[in-house]
Amino acid sequence: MIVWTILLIILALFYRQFTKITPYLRYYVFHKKGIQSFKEQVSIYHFQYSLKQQGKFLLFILAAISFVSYTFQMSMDRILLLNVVVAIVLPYIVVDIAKYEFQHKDFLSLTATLQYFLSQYKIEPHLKKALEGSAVIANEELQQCLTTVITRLEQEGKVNVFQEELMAYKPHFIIANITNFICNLEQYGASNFENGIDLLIEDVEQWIADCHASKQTLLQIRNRICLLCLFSLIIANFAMQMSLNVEFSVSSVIYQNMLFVYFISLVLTLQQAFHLHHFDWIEPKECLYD
Amino acid sequence: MIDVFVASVMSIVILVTRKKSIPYLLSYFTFTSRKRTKRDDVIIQILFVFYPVAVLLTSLLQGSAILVLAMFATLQFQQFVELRKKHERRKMLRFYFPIWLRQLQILLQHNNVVTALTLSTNTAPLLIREDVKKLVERLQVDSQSYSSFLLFLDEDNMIEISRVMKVLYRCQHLGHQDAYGQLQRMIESTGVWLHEERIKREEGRAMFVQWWGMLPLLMVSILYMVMMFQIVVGILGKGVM
Repeated sequence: MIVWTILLIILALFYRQFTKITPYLRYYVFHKKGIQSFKEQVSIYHFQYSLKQQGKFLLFILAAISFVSYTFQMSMDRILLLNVVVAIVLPYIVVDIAKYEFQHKDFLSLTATLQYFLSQYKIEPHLKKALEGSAVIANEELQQCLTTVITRLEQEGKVNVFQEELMAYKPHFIIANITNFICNLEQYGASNFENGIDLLIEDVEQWIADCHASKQTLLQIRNRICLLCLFSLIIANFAMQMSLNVEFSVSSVIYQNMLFVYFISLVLTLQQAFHLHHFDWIEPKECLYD
Repeated sequence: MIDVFVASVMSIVILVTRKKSIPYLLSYFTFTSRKRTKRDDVIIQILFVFYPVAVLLTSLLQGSAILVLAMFATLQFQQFVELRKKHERRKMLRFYFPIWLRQLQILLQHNNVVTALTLSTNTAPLLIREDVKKLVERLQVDSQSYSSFLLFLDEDNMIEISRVMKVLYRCQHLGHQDAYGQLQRMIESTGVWLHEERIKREEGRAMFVQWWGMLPLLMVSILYMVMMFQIVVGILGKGVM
């Protein structure tokens, strides 16, 4: 087993020399491109990446995994192999967490901006003024989008640019409703538009409430899975301690292999639990791509 | 044997008639929005007509009840596929219709029904865009026709849609003031509908992931059994010694 483990580690370390990276291994930690792809991905999500910090974090996790597996009297070669697996899986978890945090902020900023824009427009139905006011509270990306709208409105004088730019930014149906409504209002005018604005505000509020509720449910599931992992670990430890009292041999190959498979299943389950973060805050199905 | 032969011939025919027939069939049964071509129909015919006939002949020759059952299952499969397609469309409609309806309700605040429908055409979900266009065309010919409203998505036979269409007809025929109460109720129910659809989607998503939590428990049970088995073997071994 030691020979095979060392061989696998060597293969992993020199993987980049004889094979191309696959989509499943895009954050492969032993691959130069994998690390680069990981760096790029986390920087998209505005995650402060530092190699030192990442190294420390990885070492800490590996030490913890080694300690736990050592308490189960797992053989050293299997502990090494387990650490390799954990090192491969860990970047995926980090990317999922970074994505969640980024999208959460993005969603909050977008909805707050929409709410502010609608209330501003309701008080004073002047598109440019409402946009200028909303741009102040928007995040960088949305602010840029709104600035482009304002500039194009000044240059072209067509109200449709508002719809075009915002739909290009996020083609969600609520944004489509808002832009469609405002464009029609600006073009044709209306006497009692307040009801429409109220409906739109209600929609945004419901959207926020639904999204938060669904994310809360997913977080609860994640925590439940983590708790089940912990329980299973306690049960396994208890079983092992009990078996040791009746002259159970921990060095047997069957036990060692089964223990290794069990730990791998734990790692994969935890990865899947954190993978729940990858679901978008803004549901792609609610977007009208056109 | 004939059955196997027919199946083999069938697969060869599919491969010859269309290079990408297998991915197509997979996409066909997974209900993508791709339109069926004549060649696709031939493939479907082979699958669902020639094959069952061949199986029937085989059963007559061999008198095997299993083959008759196989034929029956094959015939039922087509029906099952159709039902699944219908079910999938209804499911998508339940999701996209309230989205479009909300759009319409907002436009109805300061437009009449026909104008609101016309304005919503371009931003309507792709699933119903063509139907909305047809509805607008019908209304442009005769805006007071009750059947024009009822014909909208009538193939799907959904009670919610026909109810909405009735309210829209009332709005068109009598004006917003008269249909105000109904319109308000429709707005409220659409909000609830959208909320329910979101919850359903989340539940479906969460249901699948929750099963992952069972994996460590299953594995620890197996680990425990392995340990017990080893202890028993050890004890028995000592006894023999």
